[in-house]
Amino acid sequence: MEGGRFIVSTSPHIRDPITTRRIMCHVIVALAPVTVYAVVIHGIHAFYVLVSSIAGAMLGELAMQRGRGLPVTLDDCSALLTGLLLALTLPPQLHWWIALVAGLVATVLGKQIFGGLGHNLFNPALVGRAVAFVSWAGYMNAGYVKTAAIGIANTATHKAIVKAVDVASGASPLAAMKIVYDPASSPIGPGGVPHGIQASSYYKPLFLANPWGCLGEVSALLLILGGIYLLAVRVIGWRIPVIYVGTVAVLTSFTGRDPLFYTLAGGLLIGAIFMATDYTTSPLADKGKILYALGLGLVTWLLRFWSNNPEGVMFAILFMNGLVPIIDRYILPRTYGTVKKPRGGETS
Amino acid sequence: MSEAWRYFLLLFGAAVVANILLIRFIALCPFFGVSNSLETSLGMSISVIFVMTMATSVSWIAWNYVLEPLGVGEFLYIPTFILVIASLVQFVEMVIKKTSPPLYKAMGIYLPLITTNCAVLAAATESVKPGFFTKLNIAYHYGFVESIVYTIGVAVGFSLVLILFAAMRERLELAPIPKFFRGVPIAFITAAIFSLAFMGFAGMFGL
Repeated sequence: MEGGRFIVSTSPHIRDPITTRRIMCHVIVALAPVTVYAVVIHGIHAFYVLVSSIAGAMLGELAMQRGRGLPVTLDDCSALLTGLLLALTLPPQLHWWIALVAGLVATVLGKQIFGGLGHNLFNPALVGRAVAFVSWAGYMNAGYVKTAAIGIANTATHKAIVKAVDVASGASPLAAMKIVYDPASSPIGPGGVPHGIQASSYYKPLFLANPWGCLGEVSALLLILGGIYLLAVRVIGWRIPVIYVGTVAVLTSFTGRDPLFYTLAGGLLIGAIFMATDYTTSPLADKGKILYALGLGLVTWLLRFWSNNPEGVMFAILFMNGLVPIIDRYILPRTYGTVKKPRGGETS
Repeated sequence: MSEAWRYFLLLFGAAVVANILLIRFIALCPFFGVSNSLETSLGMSISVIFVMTMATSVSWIAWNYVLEPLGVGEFLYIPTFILVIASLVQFVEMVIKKTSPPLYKAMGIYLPLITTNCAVLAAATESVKPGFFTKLNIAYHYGFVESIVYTIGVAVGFSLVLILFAAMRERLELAPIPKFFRGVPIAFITAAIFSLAFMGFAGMFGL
């Protein structure tokens, strides 16, 4: 709306260079070290998973937006980020076509059907992963173990577990500890419990180079650094990740298990830092965020120790995503420009 | 297994692990019918909890003291239970009409719909012939208290999901959803994804 020397426009008049694209790019930068390191540790197959997942996500976005005759917004990087996050939750030896389908599901069913960016109820990457997890459970579980990578951080402990448990089922550290605590869940029966396993012997590999998990679980250190970067550029707030991880750690130590191990192992860090903090699928108000993070911690703890699966972060985040609309309805953020009403009324 | 823990498992299992809406897909008609507004789904939840508990207690008595002794339970339980449930719903309808006309108006067609709500019949049937939680080693015949706890679990699971789902659908009202998916289709897709989240609870506590 240019009118000669003046620009006439409606509010907002104060603008900030923050755009969707910039936020997405910050997150991608924060994830870049983990991604590169995952390919280094897991080898070329991890790269195929990465590429097919991102391709699936971007293809889904393109097809849906073209189909509806909307402007194609691939350049805001949100589909790229969805594909990247999805790939980081997939096992490295997964068939490329499963990653592709999961990527397609993530943007088509997880996001575009709900109206696109900002309207989805569930985290798109996790919708893609959940569909793949339920549809191809065998492939998803067998996709962990491989071969060349294991040499990097082969502790005696893990060797003992891998020997005791069926190698093809791929004992991730969490699965191994589940068998230690719950012998009945061992695939080869109660007789095959490895003795003398210490959770603490996993600290170093989990922190620096973990070859037994999803792409995004290779190094807790790099994930934490990514989280600090996002906090520093103010893309995420501290409440959700800190309270989520803290709740899991506290509840774990109440249960009498090693809290540090259960913080570092599995998808907790990547989930807490990069997925639970998604703007669209987390509550608006600070109090709501705290409640949401407490719920995430509680559900993750319940699922990890008492459900069939060794890990519960994905289901916990999807479940709590479902609770966000009701949290947002009852816990509203303070309207900008207003002051909190003092309790009791007349005291002020 | 202590008595209290057993009741907790029964309640939790009925409400979450084998959730009647999202895991067993029973009673989808009221689920999609009422869930477009939070207010009506709250009213629906309260009346379902009430009707289900009443229906089960009466059905349990009918099964254990009338049908079983006469040896006609196997082929008469469906008509008997439906009769019991239908008359109860009529009763609840009269009470709500007298005590809270706005709630009665808001519920409209959905209150009589509870008559044909298969969740009520399912809860009543399962509490006399339980088919779930075989791993729990709960006896084939629930006691009276057990059947009530189980039914409250089913009803609470129904209400919980209904209310959460209503809040989700209210948010979807504002989203620019593709034309052909607006309304019930997107509700089905949302329910499917939420059901995926509930699958994480499968096998919890060995249920």
